[in-house]
Amino acid sequence: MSSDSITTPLTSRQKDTNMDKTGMSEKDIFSTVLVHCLLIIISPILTFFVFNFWIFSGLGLEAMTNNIYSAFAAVVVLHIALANFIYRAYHNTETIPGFDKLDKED
Amino acid sequence: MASTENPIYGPFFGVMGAASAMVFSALGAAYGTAKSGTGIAAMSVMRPELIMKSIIPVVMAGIIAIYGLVVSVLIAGSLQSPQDGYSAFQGFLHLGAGLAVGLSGLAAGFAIGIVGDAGVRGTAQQPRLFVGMILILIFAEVLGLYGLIVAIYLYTKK
Repeated sequence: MSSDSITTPLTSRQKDTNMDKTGMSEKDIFSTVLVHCLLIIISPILTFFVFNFWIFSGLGLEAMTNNIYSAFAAVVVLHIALANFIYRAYHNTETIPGFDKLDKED
Repeated sequence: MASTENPIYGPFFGVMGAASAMVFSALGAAYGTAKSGTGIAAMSVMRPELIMKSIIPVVMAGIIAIYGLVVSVLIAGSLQSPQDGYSAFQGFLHLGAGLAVGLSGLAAGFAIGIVGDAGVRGTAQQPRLFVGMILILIFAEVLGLYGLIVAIYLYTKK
């Protein structure tokens, strides 16, 4: 492969990153990642404290049991949020067409 | 009044447990974030469209810190003064729980950092590596989860 044909896909790649065929612009990607990261950080903490007060007042459990249920709930919510993010990242990011071919020729 | 059952130094161990749970897991998470962050920065120069996929190691390193936070909050919530019946045994249990989640988190963070760095750079060249990278990251992450489970188990002992 000549140096010419290496630089040509590079420039078209740069154009593609701003608006490729699924319409994920720079702003879309940023907002998606931001929302998911905030969800992953905030949701377990919120779950812990909401469960802590909700179960405690609702069921009248002992403080220790209450804490442990809340901790497990927080960890489960955390993993659901993480799995959601990985699913989104796996399915909604597209590779640039022709990149695999470019790799093989290198 | 502090007694032989509830000595004055009992809460020291509990406090150290709460602190070490947070400190060590934050160390692991920071290393994981920094190491995989350098990989992401190097990779994104050529393949900026893969940013969203390559953020995953950073997110997983952040989760390690949340494990430490959970255990730390649990321990801190049950700390008492020796006069209120905080025994030395409880202090030892809390220290053990804190060290379990803290050092497991440190190990998991190291693993996530190294795997994330190499995995992200590799994914830029061969996109099929992504599934493998996620699997390895999950196995690294699970090490921290084991620490969390043992810590909560220790915490529930009376």
